[in-house]
Amino acid sequence: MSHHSKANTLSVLLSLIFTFMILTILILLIGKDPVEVYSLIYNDVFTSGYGIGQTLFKATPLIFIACGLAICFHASLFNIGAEGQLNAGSFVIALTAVQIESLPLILKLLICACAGFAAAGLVGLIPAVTKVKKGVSEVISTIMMNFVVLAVINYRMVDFFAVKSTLRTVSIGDDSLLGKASDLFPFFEGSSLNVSFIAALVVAALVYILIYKTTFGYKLRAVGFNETASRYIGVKVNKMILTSFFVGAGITALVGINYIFGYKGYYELGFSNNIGFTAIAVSLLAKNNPVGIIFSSILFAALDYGGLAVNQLIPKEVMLVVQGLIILSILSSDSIVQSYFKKRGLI
Amino acid sequence: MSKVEFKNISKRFGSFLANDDISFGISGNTVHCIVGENGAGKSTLMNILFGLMKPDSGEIIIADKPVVFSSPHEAITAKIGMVHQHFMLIDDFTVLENVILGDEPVKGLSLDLKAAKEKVDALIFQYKLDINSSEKVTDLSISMQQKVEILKLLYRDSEILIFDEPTAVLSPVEVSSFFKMITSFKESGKTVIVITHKLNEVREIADKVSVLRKGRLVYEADNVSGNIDINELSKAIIGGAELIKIRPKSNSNSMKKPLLRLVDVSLVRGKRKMLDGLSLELFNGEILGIAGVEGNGQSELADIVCGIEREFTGTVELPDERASIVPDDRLKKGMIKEFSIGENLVLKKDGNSLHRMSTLRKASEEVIAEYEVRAPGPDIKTGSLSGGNQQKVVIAREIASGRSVMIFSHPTRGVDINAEMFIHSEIVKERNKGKAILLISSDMEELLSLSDRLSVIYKGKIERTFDSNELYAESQMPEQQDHRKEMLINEIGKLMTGVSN
Repeated sequence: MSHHSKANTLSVLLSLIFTFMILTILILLIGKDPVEVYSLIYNDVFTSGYGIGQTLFKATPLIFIACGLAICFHASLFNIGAEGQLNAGSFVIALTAVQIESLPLILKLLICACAGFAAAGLVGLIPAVTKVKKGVSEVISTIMMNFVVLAVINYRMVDFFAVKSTLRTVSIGDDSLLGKASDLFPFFEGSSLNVSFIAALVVAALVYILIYKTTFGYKLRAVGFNETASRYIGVKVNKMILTSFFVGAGITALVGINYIFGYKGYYELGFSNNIGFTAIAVSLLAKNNPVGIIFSSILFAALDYGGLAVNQLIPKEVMLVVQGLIILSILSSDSIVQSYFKKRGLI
Repeated sequence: MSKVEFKNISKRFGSFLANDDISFGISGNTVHCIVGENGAGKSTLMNILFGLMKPDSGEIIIADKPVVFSSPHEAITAKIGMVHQHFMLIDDFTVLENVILGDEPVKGLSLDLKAAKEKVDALIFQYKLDINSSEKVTDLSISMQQKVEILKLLYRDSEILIFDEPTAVLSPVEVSSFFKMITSFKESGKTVIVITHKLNEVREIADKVSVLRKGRLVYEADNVSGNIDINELSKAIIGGAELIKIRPKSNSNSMKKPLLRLVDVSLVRGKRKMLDGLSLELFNGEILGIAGVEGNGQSELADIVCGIEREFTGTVELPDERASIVPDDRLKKGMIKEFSIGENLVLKKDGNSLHRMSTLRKASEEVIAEYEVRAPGPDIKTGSLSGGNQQKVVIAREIASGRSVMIFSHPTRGVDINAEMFIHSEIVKERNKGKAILLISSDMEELLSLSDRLSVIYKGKIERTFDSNELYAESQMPEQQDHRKEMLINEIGKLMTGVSN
């Protein structure tokens, strides 16, 4: 292992330990027994097939979104607009699926995935274009795009697409739903884990190769490290910004496959529940490495599901505190570890 | 008695000796100019005096006492002030607010703006600075902003005022009023130190001149009523006394055709005209040197030819989409320091393909062998290599990209002598392969030993181009050659510094 990856692993570990300590103090302050809380979480999340299944099911969308974001983050593009991008993508997936109901499932999936990818990608392309053309900060424009996209979907929904007196689209039909894990492995009985989890793992592997092994990935990271040098070397920086935004945003749309084809069968307003923001933290925790993202997604999903499990003892919002703490502590432990390694001339 | 005395000051950056045993004194109540090329060590010396850097050895003596400043704050307390080349002002603050920032007068718990304004306005009146202390800095011209910087020093009662290239940003009219200001400071008993490379300015304002070259003090002179010998001075600055070592032959029998042609190219950045109707032609198989004091349009010229700057007027004709460039600042512009050698080479590839660790390692090893790069292994990040070796990596990558027009901008700045020789021979090799090479440098020896033709750039325009029979006469006796060369260097020095007209 190189000193760089050692430093990265060390700072992630440090921040997790720190978070765990603060969480323990927090539970004590609430007046509960930490041992009791932890054992409850452990039992619920890790010992039952249902718990494991639910955790992996909740991790699936995080993997998709965080992988998309990682592409942008590697180019130093702070895409805060995943929430809007994934909603646009999922909405289009739901609408497309209804239109092509008669096609075979595999073809339907492919067409829907492409349509969703394009829709989310185009939403991502808008801040990229304003950045390239006019130097508008992508942080501001992507945040604002979230509001715009959600408002537009809301408007189209209510007036045209919603099933009467609901906030959801027409169902794609039960025979269009993906196979559940429990169909093959009864162990997962009752959980919503489905084939999309495998798809998420494949996407993570592909994004890993894209970022670390291809010409595109090297240019992407070069732009992230040093935009000026990239220009002098001859990398087409503007093209890289546009492409990484399109691809990164496009991937977030795959969340819709998990939710619509794998779970509910329709798009529903508010289904995403700010997962587009949580995914930022997930990617950050994994240092934007897609393989790491699989693990940090599972960690965040476990916290999310574990929060539900212990809701009787402590408010589940404590888990939100934990997610925030992880990010704060990783940012500070990063600089501590970096300076420790630098002082010793290791990196 | 000297007001400030430098005693055996040495400062090293890695293998680069920026100040080499410099000793001299600066008398009180004078204007003292410190002159030299870029990288000669002027700024390093001033940064040491101002407490921004510590010398490796030697000491500074002020009023007979050795002092060690560990921060500019301590230097300011000792009544030393510095106006940097890039102003450090807060645009949204008024002149008054900028001046008192960091040293605010207080009354009880609140700011005593009234007392501050009185003091600042008195200073403005005393030195005839002609500036309104309640105006916002963002509304001021560059020369006004410079006055704000000066006011900051006066407000803190600085006795020793250091100016780093003060006239670089000023128009001729502003320059003469700046000189009046300098004179009034001297008359009121202050000591003024000016870093510059404009020789006619030295003649106009200096009481004393010290010339630095390659980190050493090489020349000192008094300037009594403007009678300083400009020829002597320019020779000292560019080191014309040393002999040119190599005169590479260009293969003149091949057909010459222009590869790069610029016609009437102008470029405005902000409010400054960086290029002003510049025209030049560059042929295959030749090295065209560009001589000039930095900031006269060289970097803009390079940016245009390598396709980064597009907001220009005029025409640029190139055989490829862009020229390849070895930029002046390798860390900021030349490479991705987080990447290995092989990974830096990937960035030149078109299209998209997979890259295996083993092939990248092989690419690194090839560069290491071919360019004699001293690296502990093929996987090392380029950021951990020494300056000379980094430069070799950049050059290897740009040569490999195979463009027919190449720009070398200050290719040997801050590299050791061995790397310098290696880089020079690589440039000549590429020229002999038929490439067209634009060599931008402030090192006169480098320019004269490599260039087939030499253009002098001044204020965004080519002042004059020397072709090869003007630069080199083959059949003359050695002593005639030396004489010719001396004349040539004098001539170039004057063109560069704008003395000739």
